Amino acid sequence: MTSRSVPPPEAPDPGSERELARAAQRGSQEAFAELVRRHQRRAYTIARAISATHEDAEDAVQEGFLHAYQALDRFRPDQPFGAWLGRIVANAALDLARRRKVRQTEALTEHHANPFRDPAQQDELRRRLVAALDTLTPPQRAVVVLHDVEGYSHAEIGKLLDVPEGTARAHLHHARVALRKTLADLRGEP
Amino acid sequence: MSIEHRIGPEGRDDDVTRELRRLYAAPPEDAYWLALEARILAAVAGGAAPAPEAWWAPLERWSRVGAIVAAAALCLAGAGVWRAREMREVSALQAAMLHPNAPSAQLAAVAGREPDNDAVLRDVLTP
Repeated sequence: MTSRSVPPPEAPDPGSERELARAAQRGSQEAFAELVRRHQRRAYTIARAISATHEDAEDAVQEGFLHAYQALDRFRPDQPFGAWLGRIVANAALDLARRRKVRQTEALTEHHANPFRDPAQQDELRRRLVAALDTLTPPQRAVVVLHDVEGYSHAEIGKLLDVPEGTARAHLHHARVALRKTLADLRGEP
Repeated sequence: MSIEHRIGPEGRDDDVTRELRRLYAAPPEDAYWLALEARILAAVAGGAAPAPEAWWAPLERWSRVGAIVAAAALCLAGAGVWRAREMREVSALQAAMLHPNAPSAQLAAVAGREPDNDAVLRDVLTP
């Protein structure tokens, strides 16, 4: 399995997580702030995989945490907080993606030089890739990014997006085909 | 223009995957995460407070204990009422036996469950 690009800063201790979640349920703002600190990177990764832009992902993360805060009384401390939050953030990102009728592709201001490739080709690939990603449905984009970029398994993606594992596989297949098709002429393929 | 096309072992396109990783990389700066954390907490503070615990939730938690305590209290209260009534009846009966010419109202008190008509009739018939 591919290693995740953004691992959590430290593996959360399940015991203390439970305590934090319980304290947050009792109304402790400090406990909830600590949960935000521990989980915001992973939440961003999930939201970013689903959202078309970085800004949408930020909005989804904020909305997801807000929903989680408002639903704390429904959280069962015997389950992992991260998994529960992940589903809420994924739902928030999917809702946001559906609400966005016109999506703006991300402005690519940062240039990463690749010593093994022609920068012009690299820029073209990126431009085409952004355009190709925009043609995918939010679940397709989420699956290809979560699987190929973040290294999530199909089972994990299924749980996160609340779809059967087979559906996650199908989304991945369709997304890869769509991306390859869009990039085919760049590679001189028929 | 064409670029090298490499397909990974799982059907993953290496060029695409590499570029996707760049596109989707989370911001590395700590300052960014501090700012996002502050934004989230501000939204939480400015938004609704956590849904207050439903008013019936504590009742649900304590329902079993409450039901047992309520049942016990009801039993105790019932026993107390029964005992007090019994005491009243006994003392009224004793008073009637000690003073046979006492007003028939005392007998009526003893026979508290009798209809008023019976008490009135007894009152009339008593010499």
